[in-house]
Amino acid sequence: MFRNTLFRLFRANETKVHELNYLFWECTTRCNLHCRHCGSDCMAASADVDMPLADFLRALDTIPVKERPPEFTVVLTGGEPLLRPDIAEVGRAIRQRGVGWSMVSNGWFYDEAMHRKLMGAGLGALTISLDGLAPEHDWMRGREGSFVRTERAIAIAAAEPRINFDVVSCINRRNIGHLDAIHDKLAGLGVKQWRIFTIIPIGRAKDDSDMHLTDTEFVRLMDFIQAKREAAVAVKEGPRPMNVTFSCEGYLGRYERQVRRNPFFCRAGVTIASVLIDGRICGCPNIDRDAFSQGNIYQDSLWEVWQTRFQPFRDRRWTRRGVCADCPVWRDCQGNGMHNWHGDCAEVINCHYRKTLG
Amino acid sequence: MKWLHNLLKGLSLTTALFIFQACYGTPDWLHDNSLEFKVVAADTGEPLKDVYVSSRVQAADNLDWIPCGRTNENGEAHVFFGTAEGLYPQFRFEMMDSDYRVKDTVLTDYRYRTVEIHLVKAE
Repeated sequence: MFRNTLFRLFRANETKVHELNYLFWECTTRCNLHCRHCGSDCMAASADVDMPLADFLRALDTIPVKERPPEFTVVLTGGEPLLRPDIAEVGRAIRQRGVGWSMVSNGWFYDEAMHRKLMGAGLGALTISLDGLAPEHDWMRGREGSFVRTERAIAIAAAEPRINFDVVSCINRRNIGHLDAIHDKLAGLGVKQWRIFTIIPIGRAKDDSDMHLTDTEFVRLMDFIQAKREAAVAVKEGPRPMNVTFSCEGYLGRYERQVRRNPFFCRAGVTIASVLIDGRICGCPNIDRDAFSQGNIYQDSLWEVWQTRFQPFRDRRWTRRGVCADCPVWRDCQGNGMHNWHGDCAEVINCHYRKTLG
Repeated sequence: MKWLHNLLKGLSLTTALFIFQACYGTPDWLHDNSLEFKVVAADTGEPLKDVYVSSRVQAADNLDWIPCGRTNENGEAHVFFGTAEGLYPQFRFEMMDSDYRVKDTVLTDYRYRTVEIHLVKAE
């Protein structure tokens, strides 16, 4: 109880200070895969052209150097960022401003040559998605051969000590039966961090029943992560086991302190912003951009928008509606992650807490 | 309250609170390796602006130099860099289109602090 109170105070203070330290750039919406769970509905020939680097840099440069904390990071996301032919130039330009950058990739194009190129451009952290063993991964990604390519990418990245690397997996009804096998595969590849998330019913995944775990399966997933974490803590000697964690996608009730390092805190709009493909400024890129965009870099100063707007992100009392209205855990959950509110926002579309009740 | 934020952030026991991954983002940067350089002219002591700073891990000569910063009008550059266990970081300071020689240096102690770098003009 006391810990919860302290954490609420901490969260309130962080929200008040709202120090921007994590900036997504949706640098392309083109993608070489066709993932069943894609929240952005991206495709090979996207209607949006890639945002020119110079446009993004102009927005980035509105943030005063003294306002950038040491951990400030630009996270390249998409689409598939490696489809940008100027990806290394992008990285260098960001690093030359004294800013770190990282990238989320599906791994298809990530070979030794690409790795060298990106390390030379100052890549500091990397996330690669793997959604199961070969059959499930390729099914999920909509392209045969994806698993082999991703496996290669993971092996390259896991062997690189100069980056903070993790693998993310989207757990669904097809791969939940293979959690141990995926775990062992990743551990065998030398992966040190494995982050698991589930699928929110948006984009292509909205009406795909294979994508969404039942409540019982969700609890099973939580138990799996908890068991892996407890087993890791018990290891006192030898190499550290892979760190398995659940993503920050929602409030988890009784599993809160069991399946990840920190209590739930949706930092979208609090410490996280994004510059979307069309210049819109939002929280995380998977948040409903029509409902929650706060400005546009082509009309507004990114820094000014960050300083003066984002009220719906920093005061979540508006989420006390629908099932959240009388929820006993609202003070800790605060309406779940912002990406769980879409359209008219009459109701949260995904309640992790209720799932944990089994 | 910025002071409270800074205080908590400075306490090693609570550092974990500030390290996070956005849902679909990447892990945090390896930002524990951070340095402030001040680059000055060896002969006059004047600060040098627009000196490019890059880094790599010592003994990994086959790896490219990674750009990690550029000095401001006070000759200062705050840089972040990666390391590998048991190896020291190496830095390069280069001022384009000038008479100053490129300088390479290895740091065996890179805890957070300011390091002064002197660039020498070519004879």
